[in-house]
Amino acid sequence: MNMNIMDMMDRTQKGFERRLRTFQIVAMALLIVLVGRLWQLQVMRGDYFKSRSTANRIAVVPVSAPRGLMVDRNGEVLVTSRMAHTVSAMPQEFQDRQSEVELLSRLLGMTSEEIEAKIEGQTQGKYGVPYQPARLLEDAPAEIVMRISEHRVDLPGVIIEEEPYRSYPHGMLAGAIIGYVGQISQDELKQLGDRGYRGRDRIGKTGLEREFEEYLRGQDGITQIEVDSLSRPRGTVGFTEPVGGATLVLTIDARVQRAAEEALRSQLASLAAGKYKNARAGAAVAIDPRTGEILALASEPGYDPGWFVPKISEENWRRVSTGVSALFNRAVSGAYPPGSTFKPFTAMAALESGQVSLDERFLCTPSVSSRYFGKKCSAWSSGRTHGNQNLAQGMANSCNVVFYELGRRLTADQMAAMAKAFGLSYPTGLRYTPPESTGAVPDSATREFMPGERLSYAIGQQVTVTPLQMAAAYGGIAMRGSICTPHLVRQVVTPEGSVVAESEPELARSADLSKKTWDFLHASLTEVTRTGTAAWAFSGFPIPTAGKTGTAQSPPGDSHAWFAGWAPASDPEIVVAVLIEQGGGGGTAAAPVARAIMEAYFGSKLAGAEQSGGQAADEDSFPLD
Amino acid sequence: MLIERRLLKNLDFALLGAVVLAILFGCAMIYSATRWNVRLTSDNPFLYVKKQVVAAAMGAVASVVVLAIDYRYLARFANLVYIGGLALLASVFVLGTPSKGAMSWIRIGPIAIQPSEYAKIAVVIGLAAYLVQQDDLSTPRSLIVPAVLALLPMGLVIAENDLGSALVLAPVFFAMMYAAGADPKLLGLIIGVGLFVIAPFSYFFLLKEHQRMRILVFFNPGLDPRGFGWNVTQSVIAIGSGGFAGKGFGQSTQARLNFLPEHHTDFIFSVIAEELGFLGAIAALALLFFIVRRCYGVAQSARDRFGSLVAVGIATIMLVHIFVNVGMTMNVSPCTGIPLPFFSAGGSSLIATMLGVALLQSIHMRRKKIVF
Repeated sequence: MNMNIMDMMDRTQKGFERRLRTFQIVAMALLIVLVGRLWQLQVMRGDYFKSRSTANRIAVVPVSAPRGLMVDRNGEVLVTSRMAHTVSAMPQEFQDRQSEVELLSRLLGMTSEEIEAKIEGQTQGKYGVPYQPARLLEDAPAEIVMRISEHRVDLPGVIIEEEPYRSYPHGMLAGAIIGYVGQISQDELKQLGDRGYRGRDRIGKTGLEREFEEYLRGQDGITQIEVDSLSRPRGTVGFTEPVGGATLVLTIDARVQRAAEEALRSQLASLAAGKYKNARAGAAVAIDPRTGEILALASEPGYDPGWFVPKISEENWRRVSTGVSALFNRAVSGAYPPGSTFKPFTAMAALESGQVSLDERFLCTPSVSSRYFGKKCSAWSSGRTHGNQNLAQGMANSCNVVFYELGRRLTADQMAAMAKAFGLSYPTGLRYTPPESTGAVPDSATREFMPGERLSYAIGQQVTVTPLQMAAAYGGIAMRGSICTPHLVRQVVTPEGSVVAESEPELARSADLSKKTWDFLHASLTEVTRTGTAAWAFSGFPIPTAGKTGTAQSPPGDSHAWFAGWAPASDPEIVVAVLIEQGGGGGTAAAPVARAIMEAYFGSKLAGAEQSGGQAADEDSFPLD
Repeated sequence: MLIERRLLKNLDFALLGAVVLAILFGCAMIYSATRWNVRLTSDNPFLYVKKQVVAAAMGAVASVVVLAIDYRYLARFANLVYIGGLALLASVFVLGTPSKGAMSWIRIGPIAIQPSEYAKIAVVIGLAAYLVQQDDLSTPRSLIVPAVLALLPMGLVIAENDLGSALVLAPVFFAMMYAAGADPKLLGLIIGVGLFVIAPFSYFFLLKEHQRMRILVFFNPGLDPRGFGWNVTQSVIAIGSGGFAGKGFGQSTQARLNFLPEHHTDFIFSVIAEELGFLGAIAALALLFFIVRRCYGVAQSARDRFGSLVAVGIATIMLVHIFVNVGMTMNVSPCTGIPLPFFSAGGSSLIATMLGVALLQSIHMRRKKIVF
């Protein structure tokens, strides 16, 4: 019994000790579980988690590169940058978001919803940069900057950034060439997202700003910042300096450009004040025909690219986009019937095909009208006739009867071929955005021409051309067949001064005509400004000029006024094409603008020439009779 | 109240040394984890280390008091200790201040006390004192009273909205019942019912939304990586990125940049593993498990069953804390607010743990074989 109790006690004591040992085993088992997991995480997958922790803490913030400048051929700065203040928000740093946004809305004059929308748009989503401040008010006026600074204590997370802004020292000058810059759109991001654009970026929208975006943009730098779990920056880990955009050295001469714009503007004003109420738009192009360098390219009405900095106001947007649009570059994108400025091409086609001789005579009188399907010469309406004249006189007087007769003899294809030989209906090859219009030169492949239509073809009513094409084609006539590709950018130069791209004069096409034809054209077109339809506009202009006026009908509106020509007549340096929409007669409306452009081009040379009494270049004038 | 020299010689010096080492290790890691966080430390990088050292000093003083008392007195006054523990828990409802959604703190001037840390020990004492009086624990009936003894404090802690701390008592209860001789099959059955009937029932009908999320996130941390899954996700990144050798002391980017929350308290182990790597983490675990094993050793060497059962209870509290806390940092156990003994910054946890160890030393000192 005693033994039994002892036995039992011994057994229970043994059981107790055995159970206590179990705990040691359980503890060891749990330790093994933890160590095993530790081994798995740290040793087996350590590299993976290292990269995860790096990705956690390193944020890459782009540093905007300053955009490249634009200067004219003489180094005159057309586009530069200025420092501006931007009120921005770093939402992670807000302490009391709601009350801060409310205070901001009072200081900035925006609604709280607008502010929240701006923050969301720039910091969230695919192209948002969460560590970069969100712009709330760009180019903030000084008094707002002051007010924000005064409330700095109440506005943690609101900062004032300094940013370079596009600046245009000459205002509207060359606006149509330069184009404008704006915040990148969602569509553009989709197209260009792979080139590193971000939701906050600005991008060239039109003109050279867009066409040469890749050069102007520069290369954004990168700041690698360490951020904490709330995306608050804690310090800079790495920095790559941004590379500033390259400078565009334009072929433009600011003086000539200014003259072109001012002459167009004042001409439009005086036309609209007088008989031509609808004369509200026009374009002018001046090219050095020897190289294709564009000296001036104007489109009216114009705009100041500065209106788009940092963002265009509603009022200015209405101003540029409604009615007669200022954003439409008429010199490049506007296609118009050339009217009588087409006549040289008709003459060339007739001469080269032997359909006319230089001493053949034509009678201009209303009685011949029946021969030409009842079509009239423009002189008749004022009770005059051109009488009996040769081809040169017909050109100088822009007599329609002479060219009806040529149109009767020629096929549409012959005239079209000559026009195309000078590049009409083709892009000139100008690098510009949006792409230039090509106009249209129809031939029998396009449609069949009735005999009457061939007559109007001969006087430029069946084709359309852009002012740029007209300037290039007349450059070809001036240079006796060599047509250079027009261009606006001479050089692209990096901020360090190395040239990354350069435009060499490039022969776009050449027209191979007989010397007799060239001589005839040069002489007869010089006569236009001496005694012909542009004589009034060029009276007293000391440099012999060759050119042609045009008055293109565009019913139901008034006629478009044209002038295209070059100077000096015998040694061409500048070719000018001027168009005034619904401006009436080419000689009275367009030619004076061309003269003003040439005056600006020749400048001081002109002053000297006037003193010496002028007109001396008469040697190679062609006998009119 | 002097302690006999003879008894002092019987102290478990290895356990004492390990505890001192763990506290020092913990202080170093608390310094490393908090010194960057200016908002937390108000520009004094030693603020939390200082608090921890003060707590350790208070714990040491309290430990000396505990050593001086023969633990067998506790058995005699066990009812009082147990009721005191319950009262302490209940006092939270009157005096408590809410913190992180739980009402488990009492604030007395600058000192904040978490009663549940101390109450756990009181429950262990109460339970042990009851169990040693029972001859037969093999019948289901015999389990009713101990279960009530455990469930009462658990209910109170759950009412404080601190489910994690409450659940720690469940394994402690089972461990002590098992040690005391309850039928293992019966215990297994209860655990089974708990896991497969009560747990799912609670999940669907009793748990609050955020508690449910924690459990979902445990099974799938990617479910809500920026919300409920954040802590675990970032902790696993921290630990994994430490690699074999670690990023170096003070070089935890996950803690310094605040990706890792609660990095000086609940997630201190992640900082150790990130900065000191696999080697450092193993060292910390080795130290902790060495302490746990010595504590279970006390159970084996105790002169009576009361001492053994108290040792089993306290050692199990520690083991559960360590496993749940470290497991949580590696997504091996769900996310609960359980601190890591000796390492996590926090006075109550440290002092209570030290008191527990002191109680075990007191038991160990007075073991059967006294070496002269």
